[in-house]
Amino acid sequence: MTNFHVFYLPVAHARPQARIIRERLLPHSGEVSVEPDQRVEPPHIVARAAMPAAPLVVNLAQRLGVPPKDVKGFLLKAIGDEFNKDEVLASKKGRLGRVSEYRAPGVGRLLAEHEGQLVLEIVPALMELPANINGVVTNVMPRYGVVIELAGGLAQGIWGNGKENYGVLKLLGDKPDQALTQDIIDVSYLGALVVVGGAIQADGLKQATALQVHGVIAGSMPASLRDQAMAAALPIMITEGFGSWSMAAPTYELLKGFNGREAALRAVYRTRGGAQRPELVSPLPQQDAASAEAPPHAVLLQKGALVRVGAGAYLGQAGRVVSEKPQTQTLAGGIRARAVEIALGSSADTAADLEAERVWIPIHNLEAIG
Amino acid sequence: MSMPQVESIIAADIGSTLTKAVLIDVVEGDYRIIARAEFPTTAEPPWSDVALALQQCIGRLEEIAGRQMLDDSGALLLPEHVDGSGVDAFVASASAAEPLRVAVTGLMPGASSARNNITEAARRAAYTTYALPTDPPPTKSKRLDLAARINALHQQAPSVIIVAGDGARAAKAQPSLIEAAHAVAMACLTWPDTTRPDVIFSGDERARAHVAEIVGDGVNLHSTGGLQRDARPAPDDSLPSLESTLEAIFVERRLNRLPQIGKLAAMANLPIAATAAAFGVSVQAIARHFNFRTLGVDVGGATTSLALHDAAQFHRVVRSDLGVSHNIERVARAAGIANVLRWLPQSLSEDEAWDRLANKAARPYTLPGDHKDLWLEQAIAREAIRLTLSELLKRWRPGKARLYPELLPVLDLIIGTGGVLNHVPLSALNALILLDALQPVGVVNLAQDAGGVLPVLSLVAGVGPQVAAELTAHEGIVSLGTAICPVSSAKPGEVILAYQLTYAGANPSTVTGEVKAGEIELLPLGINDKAELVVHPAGNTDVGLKRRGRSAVAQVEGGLVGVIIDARGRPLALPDDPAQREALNRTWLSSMGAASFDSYD
Repeated sequence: MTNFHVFYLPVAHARPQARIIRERLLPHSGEVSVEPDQRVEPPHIVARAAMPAAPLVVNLAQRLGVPPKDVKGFLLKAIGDEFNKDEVLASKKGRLGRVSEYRAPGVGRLLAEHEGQLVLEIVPALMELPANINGVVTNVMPRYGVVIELAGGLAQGIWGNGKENYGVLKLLGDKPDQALTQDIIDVSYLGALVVVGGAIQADGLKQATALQVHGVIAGSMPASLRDQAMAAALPIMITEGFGSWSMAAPTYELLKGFNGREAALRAVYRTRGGAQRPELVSPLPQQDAASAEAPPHAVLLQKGALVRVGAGAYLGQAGRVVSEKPQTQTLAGGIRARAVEIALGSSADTAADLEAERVWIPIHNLEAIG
Repeated sequence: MSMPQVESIIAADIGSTLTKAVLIDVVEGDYRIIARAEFPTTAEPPWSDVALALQQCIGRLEEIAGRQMLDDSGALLLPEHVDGSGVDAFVASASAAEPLRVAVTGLMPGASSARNNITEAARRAAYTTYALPTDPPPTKSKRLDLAARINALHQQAPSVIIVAGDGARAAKAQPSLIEAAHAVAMACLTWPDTTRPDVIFSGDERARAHVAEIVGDGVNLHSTGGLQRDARPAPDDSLPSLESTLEAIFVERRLNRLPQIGKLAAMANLPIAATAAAFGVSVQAIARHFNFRTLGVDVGGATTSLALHDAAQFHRVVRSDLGVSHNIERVARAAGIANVLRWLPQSLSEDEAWDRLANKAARPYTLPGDHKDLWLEQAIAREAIRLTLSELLKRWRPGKARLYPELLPVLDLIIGTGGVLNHVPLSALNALILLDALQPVGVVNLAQDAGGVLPVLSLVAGVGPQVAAELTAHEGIVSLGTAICPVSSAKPGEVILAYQLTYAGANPSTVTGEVKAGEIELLPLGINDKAELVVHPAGNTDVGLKRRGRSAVAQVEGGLVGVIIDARGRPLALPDDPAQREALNRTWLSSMGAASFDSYD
């Protein structure tokens, strides 16, 4: 943003090809298992970390029968050291050659010693971070993760259930209002990322889970299904909102074009403290990432801009801005706000613009598609 | 008027959802708000730069005012140049940062009521700034061992741990406190430096050194005045209060770490303040200016704040979990969806309400897209205020201002601000939201922050006291009118009072009438107009004198709405039947002059 007299819109990406740069980061420090310039596939483990467990407190002073202040002298490990199950962590030779020992109850790390008490972290499981996308490692952040670049198609949504996976993208139905219902998915969708333009229904979600579908992308979903969606193991991304809304035409057409291609779905969702949007990436293996164009973070609100509506009766509908500048308008709901006129459902075709329904939408309720 | 040094000011607030800015300058000898602008806050990715939204706002102010205020790099031109470009001063507050997570440990809950009071008081302190008390994991045990205490702290993932001790007992007399200090010390050793919480010890001075020794040097330990068994702060303590310490940690750890906040700080004449703190000081200043018992209400996207000035008392409650955008669903969950829907004038199913709330949370910067969104957000605002008020009432000792134990004590002035209140299509809706949510009693002035300047008014006063005083007196804080809120045991439809309103001025005239229980009567009285109101309540009705049937005479001031006789009863009871309730809400909207909403459907 360099011009302060114009309005910039946030962008929901819907691009057939773009240079995509994504970080893959561990939630805790660990080790990175790939090298710079290495090509990775979705299942490739790029980093590993021991997930922190509830700390285990051991009264070592009591076990060794020594004063708390002397415990440090009997430790065989330093703070921060890792250990294996049954490894001796502390040892004290007593009178008559008798040895008191404390052995590790499991694999873990020595976190702290405080007044004769040890705090141990026993590792319950190793967290393995897959690449989840096809691309090239362009940067390694030792102990934390990697940056992967690729050229590919990109479609972003508005909400996701926090999961991720990959598979072949399969479009269900041929209309943007197709709902995800039980009867339209069968066993042939096992392992696929399924796309519907309309709303997810409860029975459809249940069936998708049962058939081990690898992910669902839909235009909308009732908020009442959110707990069920959060509990599902498969990633779920909705592109427009909660309720029953059809997918915006540019996103739907883009995903239609991806039908049958490999894709990765990352259904992250956060609006505060590090906002993240869910997204689907479909790589173009033949294309060099560096030759593709990085998508813009913001788009100038100007005549001709492709936008979609984020609230009200027109939620999820795409169109082009037809007014020259924002004007203060009284809007549905009675509020006065700066708004622009949108030709709904319009393409770049000027002739089609003339036929389109025109509505005034507050600029705060718009996001660019691009 | 002697010419002050500061004439033009830009005052901004970096909210969680929107960044707002106003340009204040001298017009014909008086300070006026020349222009105002707002832009979605740019603290989050992909922007990650709070200065961008401010620059967009100032760009809009330049457009409206027709003068340059930014240089080519986006920096403010300070001070105002001879050619009229630039401004003399810039001040800003911010609430865009995420709240602190506050875990309380020390005395075991359930051990005694005095100990519970101290723990509760420590938790309550979190609600005076942008901080949320976390809940310890449930346990059946009355006594936790060290491992359980450490695990409980880990599960709460706090940014601040309060070790709350008995303010009147030495450490040796509090074994539970010593155990808690050991648990905090060990838990802190297990957190990496980047996520290690700050630790506050709040307790008796005799225990301070002991706790500090246990906790060790590796922990950022703050000591504050202790809490006594009656949960009041210890009166003779020279240390900062728990509340001020929490706020300082919020400013240092959260606010000052907003992305690129340094750019704003470098331009600002005063340090960037936490919005709720600046708002509280503004409310206090207004209360002192008018000598009114005053309640300020700020309903934001993520936070709802109340600030009360009552003679020697000042209380601020900040609920960082209640708001009308980011936290809109939390309000509905905390209040119960039925309590939200009861304020709607038209039918809306619970499922559709949740869909709309979830959509707002997913796109927090959007404005209501239709009437149902508007009514729903205003209903959420009512519940957010109501929930925050319940926290305020735990602290306020109103004395004689409390006429009835179950009702709100008498106030002189209520001022509303925040996105949902500043974006209403009609000022009367603002008045109705405040009346519904707070349910005041007696005679009270209602005002709205028309300029959107209330939170930053105290900062403006810091660079130009005269500017703030003139804005308060003129267009910044605008009167909505006077509300008369009787308490009555009458049944709906019974006449509960007769009134006589005599307009002052060159041609005085008088209006008389009767008001029935369950009704709202709106009498026109414009801004700066005054009138004498005489009310004769029925024998079962009190107009705020703590005496039923006693007549009263009040000098009332007009406003954007007028004189409102709110005879709907206290506490306000709404019918259980949805159709009846919606019809009643429509009737009240109509009484407030918002009848045209019918045609919006």
